[in-house]
Amino acid sequence: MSRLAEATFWSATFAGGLRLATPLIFASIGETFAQRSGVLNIGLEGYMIVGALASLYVADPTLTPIGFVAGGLAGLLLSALMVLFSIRLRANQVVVGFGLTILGVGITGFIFRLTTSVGGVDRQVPLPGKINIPVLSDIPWFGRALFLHSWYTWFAVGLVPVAWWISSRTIFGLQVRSVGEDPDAASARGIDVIKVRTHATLISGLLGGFGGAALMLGAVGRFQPMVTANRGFIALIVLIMASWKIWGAALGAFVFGFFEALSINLNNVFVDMPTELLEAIPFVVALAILTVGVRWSRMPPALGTNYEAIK
Amino acid sequence: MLASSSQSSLEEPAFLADAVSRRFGEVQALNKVEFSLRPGEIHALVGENGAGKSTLAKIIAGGLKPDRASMSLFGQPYAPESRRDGASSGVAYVRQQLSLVRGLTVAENLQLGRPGASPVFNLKAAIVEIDHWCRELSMEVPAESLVDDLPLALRQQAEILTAVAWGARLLILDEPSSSLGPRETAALISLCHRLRDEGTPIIYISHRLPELTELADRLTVLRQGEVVVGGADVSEADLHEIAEMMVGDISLLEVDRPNREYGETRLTVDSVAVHTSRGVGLENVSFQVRSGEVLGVVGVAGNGQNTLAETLTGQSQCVEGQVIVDGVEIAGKPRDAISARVAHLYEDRSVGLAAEMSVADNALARRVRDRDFSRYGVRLLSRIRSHATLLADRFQVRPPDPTSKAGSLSGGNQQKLMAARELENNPAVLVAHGPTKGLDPEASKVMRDRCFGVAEAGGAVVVISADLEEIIELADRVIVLSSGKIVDRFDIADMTAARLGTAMAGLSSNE
Amino acid sequence: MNNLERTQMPENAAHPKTEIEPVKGSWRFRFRSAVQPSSLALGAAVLLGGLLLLVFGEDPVSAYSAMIKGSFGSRFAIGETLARAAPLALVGFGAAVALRAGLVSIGAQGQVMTGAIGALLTALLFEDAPSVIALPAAAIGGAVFGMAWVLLPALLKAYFRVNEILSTLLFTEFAFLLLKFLLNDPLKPPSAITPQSVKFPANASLGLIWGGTRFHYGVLAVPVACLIFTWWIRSTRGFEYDLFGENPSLARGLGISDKRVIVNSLLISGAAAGLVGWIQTAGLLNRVYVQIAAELGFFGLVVAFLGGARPLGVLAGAVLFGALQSGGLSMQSAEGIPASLSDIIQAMILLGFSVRYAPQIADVFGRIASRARPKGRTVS
Repeated sequence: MSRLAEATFWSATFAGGLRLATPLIFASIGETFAQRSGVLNIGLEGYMIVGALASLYVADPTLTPIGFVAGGLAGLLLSALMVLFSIRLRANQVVVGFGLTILGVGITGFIFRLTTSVGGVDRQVPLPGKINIPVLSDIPWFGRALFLHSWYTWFAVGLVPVAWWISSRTIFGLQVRSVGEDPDAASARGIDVIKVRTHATLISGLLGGFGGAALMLGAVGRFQPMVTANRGFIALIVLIMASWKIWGAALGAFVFGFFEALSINLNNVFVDMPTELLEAIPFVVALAILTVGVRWSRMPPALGTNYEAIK
Repeated sequence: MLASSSQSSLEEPAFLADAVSRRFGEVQALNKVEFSLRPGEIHALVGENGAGKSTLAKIIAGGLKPDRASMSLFGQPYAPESRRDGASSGVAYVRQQLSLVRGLTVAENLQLGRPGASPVFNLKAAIVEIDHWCRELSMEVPAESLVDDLPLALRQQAEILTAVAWGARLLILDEPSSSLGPRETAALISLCHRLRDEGTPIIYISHRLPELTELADRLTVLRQGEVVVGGADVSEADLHEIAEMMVGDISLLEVDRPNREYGETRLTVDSVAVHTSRGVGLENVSFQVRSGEVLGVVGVAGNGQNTLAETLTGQSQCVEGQVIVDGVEIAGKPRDAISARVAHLYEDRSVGLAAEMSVADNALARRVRDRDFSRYGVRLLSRIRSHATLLADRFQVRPPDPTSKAGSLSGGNQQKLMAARELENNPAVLVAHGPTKGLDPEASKVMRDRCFGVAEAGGAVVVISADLEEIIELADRVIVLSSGKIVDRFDIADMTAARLGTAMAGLSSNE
Repeated sequence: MNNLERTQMPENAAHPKTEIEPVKGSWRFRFRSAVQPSSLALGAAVLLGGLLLLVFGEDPVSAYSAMIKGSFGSRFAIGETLARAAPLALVGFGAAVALRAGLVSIGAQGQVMTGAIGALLTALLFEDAPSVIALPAAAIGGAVFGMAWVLLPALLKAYFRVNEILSTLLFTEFAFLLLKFLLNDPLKPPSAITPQSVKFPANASLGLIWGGTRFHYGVLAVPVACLIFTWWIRSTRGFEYDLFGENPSLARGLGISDKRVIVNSLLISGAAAGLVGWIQTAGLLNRVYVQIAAELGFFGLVVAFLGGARPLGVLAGAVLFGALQSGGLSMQSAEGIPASLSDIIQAMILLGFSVRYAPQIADVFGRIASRARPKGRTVS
């Protein structure tokens, strides 16, 4: 029990939370773009898992960033199917999303099994070192928690203000939000709704793929089927809590990661407690967020509806 | 206060339309309409619902293509292909929906879709620009508020502001004052005057006559797609005469109606107040309808009609007062209304019917639990089908095929199907909300006969309609709704075009 | 169901409908809306899957023939297909009830797990009772535990509008953790190394119909459920739920309580999933394992969607997917080609099927169809 009073416990949990949140930050920021544009992008789980596999298979042990980029491109490719089926052909977004998730899981499982002999050694990458920010990371107690992370985490954290800037300070961001708010009004103002939704969905594919790649190269290091463990769906919950705002999405992702880390670390404190009970903590938090978040968050009114241009 | 019209008539008109015609199906929405707008004038376009005002406005703005027309704008031939096309020629069309994106701020809306805007959204510059126009036109539009959070009056100012900032040379305001209070209307009028004095001519579409004396320089009256008064000077016009012109000659519409006998009171609405988050509620509404009687509810759309229909059918709950049908209270529960035999012809057929379900299912929806149609909780399909066939025959639903999708029927037949479902068992009370909206004359006649039929069979009928012809044909008495309150009530025998037009147009009745 | 199909229509788009559309339920409608597009989607998926095999240097012909052999080629294969189709069909019926009321529940996975636990616990309780009591008791235990697992998401949806897709997904996580906990400790037999439960009591077990296969008596729950589902669609209450799914505003106007529809239809889907937990334990596996629910939640929903939320459609979809899955596994062991190929094919069937209402595609088919046969009746 006394360990809970130690600052190191909490700073380690904080650091672990940020590490676990990294893939989720990518995914939920990308999803924010798609959903703000009115596209309910349930295939995120699929984008993440193809991103994870592609990053692992392309990554060169000496040059992991290539794998990271490949992961993003794989996610982008899968999201292009979302664009084709839902945005262009106007098929139901939820159904196509499920289809893409199954497709992503299927394709990655197929390639993984085909390239991994039973009982053989599967492909692995070494986990990245932490980038030490001198002086800052030497600050006692929280220095290491805040300033000692892999570059994936730094990238994710750095992406947040950029995404916020794009979303709220560029015309493209305005367009994305306008077509999710009221596509008819946006169209009357001369916005090409289909085009904007296409771009927003591709962004979510790219970032979803990055998320999978960050999970693979930054945290897990080796593939197994279903390695993303429903993180794509957690990102959807995070968005509701975040009321579809970039900073909120990043914060929500971190909260989930933090509780995930907490449940792992508590396991060492409460040795007698069933691990499953502790593992449930992040999901209980997610359920609470989902229930409470519905009340205060403002959903993009056109979310989930397909748009047909007036001829 | 009028601009010197004799002088400006010598100038080239800012906008000129010649012989504009447009049909929608069987309805001639506009028939060879001529319209001219002088530079620096406010030209009011008035008329009843469906007179063709908005159709003309959309054509001028480029949102609708005329069947034929020749138009010119500032001396140049003008044939816009789209709203965007019209906007880039300098025509701004401001109406209440569809102009601003509600989830964005005013500043963001200013830049959204703006031709030639830089890809980076410069918030500071947008705020400065909004402040500039606010000073110029004495408005107070908060640049950083969400449009959704603004009161209607400010939202409208924001729309006008973005139109002007984008370089509008001609402004069309469609029903801008219909939901504004007196103070906001006054502010809107002075804004229009400032815009006019800066040199932007305005086409101002309205139902409400009184504000036009203050506002407009000239006015054109449309009735059933034709110009009945073209470009008259407002200062010389008699408003009550204009109101009469809008409504048309009532005596021509008078139908022979047998002297009906009314029975006991079947529907009592006693000082009812309803609050609603969607639209206008009701305040202190009281009326009674007797057996065999038809009550007409008139008023400009959006003044509490929806709430009234929902309250009578148990879908909205009264905060005060009560609704009583044959001595039984309808306490905000649809089942109460159904067991009291309250029938409801929905205003919107897409709400009143399940378009994806069959004709038979739709015909049965109200009575699915009746013992006639199920045994041990299982629906008797053949009986349901023959019931639908019988009803389709009785109510002339074409095609009388019980298995076709309700949504595949024509509008008139959908309406008949809904009537079949609601009216099959002599309702005690019928709430008919826009029963002939969007129907051709023949189908309209059938629907009106149906409503009459209910009254003749001893029911009490409430017809809610913005179509005056319909009210005159059906109603024995009329109440006028405005902002959720009853502002006038009279017997149909006492109704004159002037009085009705006056009440609807928001003029006070004792003028 | 049609909540799913609702697209935003622009205000001026008046589509004059000239041909009477066949109504939902008629054979013509079923053929045109389900059989035709799903067989086209299946064809396209098989072609694309073959292409994928070629890309990876495998022989599509031998792969597919191994797949067919593994799904219908022998008594064992047929039994295997049916044993795999049964849980899909049961979950699919439940998901279809919810879909018809406009709800998308993908939590069946968790409900299968708790249903299995419930069936096992009930059976253990009745260990000394005669089979006539123990067997139905286990079934009821499964159904009740399945319902219990969806109760909270259903209430949250009905009273707080909490998205049921996400909440049921979280409850699947809870179920998984609960299952892991139980199989690692309280329910684990002392001799076992991997997480698993004690053996299902023999007096409540469902035997095999065909010895030497995995075709067990639990599969017979499917025709029973199919009849119940058919009755449900025909019942007055089922009609009210359909009406709510098609047009919630009208349903409310006719006095149908939305809360009741939401809670009850989700409870029904939970009960169906719970029964799957029961047959998987009592019939197929004889123990509860961590992987007992496999991907049933997802695929059951997919089957319900493919089957147009109708009894025979769901049944056909379940058999198709059951065949693909058992065929995929035997292809994997015979040819060394990963069974995930069948996931890919299933996903592509779903994607192909999802665009069957897409105007662009309907246009193409419409043109082909109008060339092939004389024009339909027209309405004035």
